[in-house]
Amino acid sequence: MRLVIVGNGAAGMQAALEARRLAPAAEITVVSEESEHGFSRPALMYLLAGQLRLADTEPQERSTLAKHRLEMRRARAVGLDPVTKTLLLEGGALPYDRLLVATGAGPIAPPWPGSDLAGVGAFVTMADLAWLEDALGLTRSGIAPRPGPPPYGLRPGPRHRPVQAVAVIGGGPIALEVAETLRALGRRVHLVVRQEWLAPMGLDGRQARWITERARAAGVEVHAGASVERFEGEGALEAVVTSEGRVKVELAVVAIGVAPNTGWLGGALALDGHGAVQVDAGLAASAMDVFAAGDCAAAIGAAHPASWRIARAQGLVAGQRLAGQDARYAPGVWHDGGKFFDLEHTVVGALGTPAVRYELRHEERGAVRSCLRLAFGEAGLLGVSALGRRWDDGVLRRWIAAGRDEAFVLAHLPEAAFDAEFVPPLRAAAWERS
Amino acid sequence: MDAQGQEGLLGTWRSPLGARGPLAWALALGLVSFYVALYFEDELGRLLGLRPFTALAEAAGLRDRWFLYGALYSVAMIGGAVRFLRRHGNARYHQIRIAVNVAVQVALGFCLPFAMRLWGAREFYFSYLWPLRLEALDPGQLALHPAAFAVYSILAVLVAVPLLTLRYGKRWYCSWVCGCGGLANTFGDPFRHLTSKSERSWRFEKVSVHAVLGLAALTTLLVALDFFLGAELPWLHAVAGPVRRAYGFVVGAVLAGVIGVGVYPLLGPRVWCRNFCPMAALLGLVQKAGRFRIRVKEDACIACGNCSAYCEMGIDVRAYAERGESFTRAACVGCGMCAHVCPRGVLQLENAPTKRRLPVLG
Repeated sequence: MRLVIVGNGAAGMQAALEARRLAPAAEITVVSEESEHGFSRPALMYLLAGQLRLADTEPQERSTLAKHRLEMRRARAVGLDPVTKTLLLEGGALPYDRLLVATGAGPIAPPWPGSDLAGVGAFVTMADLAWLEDALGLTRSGIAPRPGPPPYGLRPGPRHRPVQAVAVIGGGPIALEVAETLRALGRRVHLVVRQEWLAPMGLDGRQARWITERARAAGVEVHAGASVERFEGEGALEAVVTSEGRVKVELAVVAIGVAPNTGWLGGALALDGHGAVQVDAGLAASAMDVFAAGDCAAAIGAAHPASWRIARAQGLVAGQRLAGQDARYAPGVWHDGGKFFDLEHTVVGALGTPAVRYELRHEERGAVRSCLRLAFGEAGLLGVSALGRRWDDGVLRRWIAAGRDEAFVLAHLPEAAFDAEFVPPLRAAAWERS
Repeated sequence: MDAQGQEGLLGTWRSPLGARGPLAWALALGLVSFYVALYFEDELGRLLGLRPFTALAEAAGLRDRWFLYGALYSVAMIGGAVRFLRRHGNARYHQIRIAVNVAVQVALGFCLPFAMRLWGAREFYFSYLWPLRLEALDPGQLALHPAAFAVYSILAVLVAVPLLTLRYGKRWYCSWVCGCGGLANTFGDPFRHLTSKSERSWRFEKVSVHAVLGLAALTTLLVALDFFLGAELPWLHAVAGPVRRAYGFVVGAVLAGVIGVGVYPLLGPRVWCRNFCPMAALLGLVQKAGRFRIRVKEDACIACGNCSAYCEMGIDVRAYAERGESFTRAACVGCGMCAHVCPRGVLQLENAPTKRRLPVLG
């Protein structure tokens, strides 16, 4: 039995380890262009920041490949022939009995004039990290990009001196992380956001404004409500022109979202409107014995952005499918969280949907600055969005699944608190109702 | 947010002292030389006629070089604490813990013993308990102090240590009271990411730390027996003295001082605590049976590795976090840094009553 897994991210590595556990005799090959050992892509900003080393970001010890007899093939996948069951690689081909496509997602290319100027790039891959570190004059902390053409248009930034002024374009998690890190590295940062505020998923305008204020307090120049019109420069980037004016920068990091890495499949598998591989609840794709998991696979039930957590959960199911077992991926209640500067947020369930009948909201601005929103529908608690304090979203998820009503949720709220010790507990006396 | 979030770790591996560069090696060499000269000043005096610490202590009006060391130790801790709070001080747990730890060391580790000398009494170190200080259960030493001190020493190890550790975990001592832990968490904080996370280092630690605890117990027993029976059993007397001195040399001077602090800039600040401290070993065994644990949120970890990288005790926290598995490890000193650096707020230190150990069902 030859099992081939394309991609060694959260989904790919989880699937490989699960398949090995269930199929001790199978030949398992993991294909990765980017890295020998799987690493945590969400930790990329910590490499740029010098907060972690590459090995720190690798969830499995480096001995894992040998210990679990996983053959690593460093190559770029360039095509798939589902009839002959062959994966085409740059400079080779790999026959398979069962195949998992777990190629993740890559940055959306900037659509504006001048996007091909040197100094315009993204921050999603190891190649991006190397590009950014080179441009900033920092020592490289990641993996040297493989020789050959980069996976997408990426040109070196100006070489003459370390960059001082950077434009970060976008208002999502990657944009905020890059802005925070570059600011901490002492660079002048212009954050250009199309919306009126920086809006990580699930926060409303008032909550998101806190993040904008926090970014400004850290010295980030936030250009909210400004849309990019073009990049300008003679060969290399000199300025970004927005609807609000012209900003002189030497580098632009474009973080306007990610898209599934499925272009290489060349039509061999059915894709959805977003370019993700269409899969059923058992993660089977449109071709026989081909599965897909993680950010490159179509979401089941609802659209979702890139997610380490979901990729890992789907990888587990995909590993079982590769080993010939019957398994289903059940999405469960949506939840996500993050941290921008020192502001943490938690989002659970559905917010801002037609099913929401009313919201309860509580803000405090004392020793702890926090905001908590609870959304209720006919069936009870639907969603929670919290900024500032920490919450155990496992507890909140169970309340949502059980449709707990307002009286129960308010009475049991302390059970879901996850604040660090000595942080004064939330005393939510007055709730704002809307 | 302000009371718990992480900041200040950006650039740790890019700082000139943080990545085992030439400056870190120079500092390590300096620290090792300092401790060798301090602990072996008598030998230095005999060989070279140099007694730098004693000379300095006399010039400063201090009784002996150990008071000078105590003063330097306090200064290093205070300076380190200021730096620590600038780096992580937005978390209330750290603010309170570091303030208490520094206060205990300055008051009980330096000022009180110093004052006792001024009053004409022998100094006594209330914050160093058995088996960190074998004298705390050495009848010959205790006989030199008021009887209340002996009662204090015995009650501390037999009552306070087990009760507090079962209730709060070993952190009440290792991260709140102990001077060694205090220096590690203040002066040694910039090096916390250097602690080895390898499986090999864990296998070494398990054997070495418990071996030292065994040696400490054996030495204490020998010394006590010698005190009560030494006059009748000359062979016992002949063995107990050298064993006590050998323990003091190897564990007290070389492992706790020269290696323990000397290698801060290369191997992290908890080399002594993790691998050799008999107190940490004893408290760790009790901790396993107690309430303290690190609670992990299920299905929330993004495997970034910050928790493991900044664990000064070399625990692979991420392995538990990825599995969503709450845990208690004997080594954990409860410094709280894993929970502090986690960008997803996945971890929480808690003294869980037994019923909280089951998942909270809505």
